[in-house]
Amino acid sequence: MERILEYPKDPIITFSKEEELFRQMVREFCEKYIEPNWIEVDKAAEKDPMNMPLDLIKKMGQQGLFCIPCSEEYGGQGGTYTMATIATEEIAYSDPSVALAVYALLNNGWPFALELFGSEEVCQEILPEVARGNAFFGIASTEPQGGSDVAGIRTTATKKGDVYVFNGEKAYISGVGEVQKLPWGGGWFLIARTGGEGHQGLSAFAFLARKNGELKEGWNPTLYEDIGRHGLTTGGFIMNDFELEAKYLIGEENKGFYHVMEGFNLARIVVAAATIGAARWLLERAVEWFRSRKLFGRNISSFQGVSFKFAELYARWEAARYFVYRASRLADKIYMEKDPSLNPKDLNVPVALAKNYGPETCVDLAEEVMKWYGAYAFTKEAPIFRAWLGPFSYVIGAEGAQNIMKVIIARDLIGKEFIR
Amino acid sequence: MDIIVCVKQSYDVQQLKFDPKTGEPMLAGAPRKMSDMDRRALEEALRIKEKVGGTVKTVSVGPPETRDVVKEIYAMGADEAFVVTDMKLDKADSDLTAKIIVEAIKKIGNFDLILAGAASTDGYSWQIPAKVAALLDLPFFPNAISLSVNGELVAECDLGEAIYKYKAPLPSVVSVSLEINEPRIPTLSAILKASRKQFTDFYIKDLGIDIVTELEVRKVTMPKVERKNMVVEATDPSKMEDEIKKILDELRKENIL
Amino acid sequence: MEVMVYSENEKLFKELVTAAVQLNASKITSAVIGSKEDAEKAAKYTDKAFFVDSSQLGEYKPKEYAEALHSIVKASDPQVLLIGGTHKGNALAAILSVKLGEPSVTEVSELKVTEEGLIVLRSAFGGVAVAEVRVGRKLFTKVASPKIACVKPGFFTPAEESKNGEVEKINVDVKSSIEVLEVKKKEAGVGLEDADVVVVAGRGVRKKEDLSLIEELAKILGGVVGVTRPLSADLHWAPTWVGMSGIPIKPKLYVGIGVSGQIQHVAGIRNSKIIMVVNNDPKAPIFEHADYGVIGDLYQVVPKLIEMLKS
Repeated sequence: MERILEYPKDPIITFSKEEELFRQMVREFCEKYIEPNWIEVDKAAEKDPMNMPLDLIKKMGQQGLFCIPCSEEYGGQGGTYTMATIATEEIAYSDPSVALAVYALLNNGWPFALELFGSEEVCQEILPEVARGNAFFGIASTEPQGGSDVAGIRTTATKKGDVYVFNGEKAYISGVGEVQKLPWGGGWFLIARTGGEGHQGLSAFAFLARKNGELKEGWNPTLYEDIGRHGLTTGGFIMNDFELEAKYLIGEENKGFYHVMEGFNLARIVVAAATIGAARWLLERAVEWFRSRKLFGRNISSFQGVSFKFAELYARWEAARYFVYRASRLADKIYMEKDPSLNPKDLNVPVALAKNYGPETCVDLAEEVMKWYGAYAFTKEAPIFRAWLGPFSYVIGAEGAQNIMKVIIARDLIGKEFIR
Repeated sequence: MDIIVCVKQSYDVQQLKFDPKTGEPMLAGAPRKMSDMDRRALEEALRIKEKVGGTVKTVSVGPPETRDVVKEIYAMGADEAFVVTDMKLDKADSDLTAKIIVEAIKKIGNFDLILAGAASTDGYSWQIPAKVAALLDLPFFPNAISLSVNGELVAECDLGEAIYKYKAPLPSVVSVSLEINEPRIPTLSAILKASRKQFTDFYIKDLGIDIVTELEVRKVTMPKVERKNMVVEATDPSKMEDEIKKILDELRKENIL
Repeated sequence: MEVMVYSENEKLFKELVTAAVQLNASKITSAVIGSKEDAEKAAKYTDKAFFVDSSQLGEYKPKEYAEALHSIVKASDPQVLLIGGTHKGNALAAILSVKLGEPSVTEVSELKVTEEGLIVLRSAFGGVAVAEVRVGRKLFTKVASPKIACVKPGFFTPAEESKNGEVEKINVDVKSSIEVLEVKKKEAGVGLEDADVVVVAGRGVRKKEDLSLIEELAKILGGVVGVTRPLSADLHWAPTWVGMSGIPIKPKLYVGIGVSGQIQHVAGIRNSKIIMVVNNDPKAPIFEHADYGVIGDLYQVVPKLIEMLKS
């Protein structure tokens, strides 16, 4: 596709030669395989969520678009977290429904979180399959009673000898279909209760519902019909005495809350990256439309009500982009360079800003673009609504609702005790 | 099988801008990229190596910006890259470029096959691979659309009105067309590994070549073809027919319809 | 001044003769690699035709044919050698240039000889621009050392028979280690290159099936259908594309449907006589290069256009 807006020239957030070349290569991949197909992918999976783009996932795996920050010994690309951010942004630009971008971001963020806290044996088993696009590895935290209240999780994992036995229900989980259909299978960074009440009784597991192509017993999935972002399944599952070997415990028992919070921080960066990618696509659709549309014999963007709104949204996009890359660079310093002056908690506010700002900007922009398009935008022929409904999932929830982001910002800045 | 591929860092013609006043291209700092057909030549060399083993080395000649292409060359999988750069080489003609390539190749060492794109994205002279072959007194096959090597070379060449299938001994020189393959897109891990690899710089004076060109480019301009630029708006369905009719009437006047 | 012309393509050969006449050549000679009859035919257009019997050489092989051409050049004394700018011709020009130690220039659309030497216009930057190039320092150096220019097809009117030149056979002794295993002629038929009307589909066409609409329009206009690069290279809707990197065209009428006007596409259609376009984006660059433009949705405009042309 012809690029209508030049990518900002930015002396503050800068990219290395390798990162520039990588962005260029991801673009080339997306132009070839994703741009021509994303609408068809969205339509096919809208009819039946099990129509997921398995071939594309395979291709993306071959191209090394998953497990970007993971070590090469685990089949990863040995890249930085910023490189995962770049890839996610570009994939979302080429598929603004963000289905493929979300597949990619989950399978970058959560494998990396697994590598941070998981055992070598488990990483060795799972990560190479995820990297190749043979397996899915996402996050399973939310339960039917709510998602934001992680400390209130009810699913239990009871240790019996060498295994943990799981009972409970997870809801609004991405990848329920993928785990069943991808050649190897996969699962989630799953949070369950191993101890007492509250967040100190939680543990994290590499919960494999299916591996080596074989489904495990005691796992009963269901799929939802989503309003957008088709091509990536969402569903839930009930665990009835589901058994998992003890080696799949991630990190320490009853420390799961802290591990998953770090994972959320990492995942939120790439979530925000997906929304700025989709937003860039929307900005270009707006400019394209302004240049071709007339109203009362005038270009519609000659009405300041339109052009000013556009300018405001563009400013928000640039700010969101800045938040995203600042958080991503900070993650590189903490997790890749292991800068001793930094601590994982230093990511809280920068990440919350990015996650709060990116999705909202994208969705607001989508709504405005649809208004500018007028009646045409209300037809399914105009693809704008697909870039509205997909990113909308991140305004509602997914990797933390918008209000939770505000809570994090307020809590860290004002102090925990002053916001109770 | 030891293969040498000639790879040019061309101007990215898609992104080239022209001075609206003079019509001249604005070349200072203009973006560049690996020439499309050279990329396919490199891809073809890598595929041959993957099949029969051996080495793939590249030689690139041009202004200092040429060095930037090395990262991509290594990311695709070449074993060793050689670069000859000089400020003055931006104005090199096909004779000079071919001579430099040949002198560099002599320094690089033994080879069984030389590959290059049939023409570069910016220069489109179609001359350099053939001149390299002539200077080395080797057989030459232009515009190949398929290639196989098995002790000897079999090349299918699209020569316009027909496809010629040649069989020839090695070493030979082959230029490749855009259709020969779909070049790989390097993965991130390949890009990262490439960034650690060193390349060899040859200097013009070490090659014993004087920078003289026989072709002198005197002026480059965006050609202006005067067009009538008559545009009608047919967005309103009720007026569409009348608007289109205006154009069809003009075409009739010009005896086109 | 002697100008020698060579092209394996008959039409292009005649175009080169016209180019030579326009250079005010005092003597026009022709080089032929073929039969005696071919040489006799060429002599009807030139003062003298030199030929190498192709039965000695077999099918086209660049190195061997270039050696034959070299022998012909040495038998005469041309100051300029015009070669038809095909894949075959370009390769011969390059090899000959090395053998003669004289420069070669390709993609030439205009030429003149001044006291400074041979000056040509050639396409530059992949056809986006035009360059004025001086070929070599001086024109008249030593015997049989011509400056070489490969002329693009279609830029000169083919010459008529006007001469009755003599024919001279040149004997060569060319050894070859190369085998031509097969020569697959491409299917004849009106290709994009020769069509009078070309209707080109661009990215504005949303689905492959919609190309039938474009085909219908082409049929009514008596033309053929082409596509832009993304439709061919990325979407694989057609094997080749129109443009500088694909097939450059110069029809009497070019109709671009949903074509935005990327620079290399424009370069490849620049020599069309009339350019007409339909695009819903009035800022699309293609309008700057068009004689006639229709701003509108191609899915409404094209059916209307077909309906109006039918009646």
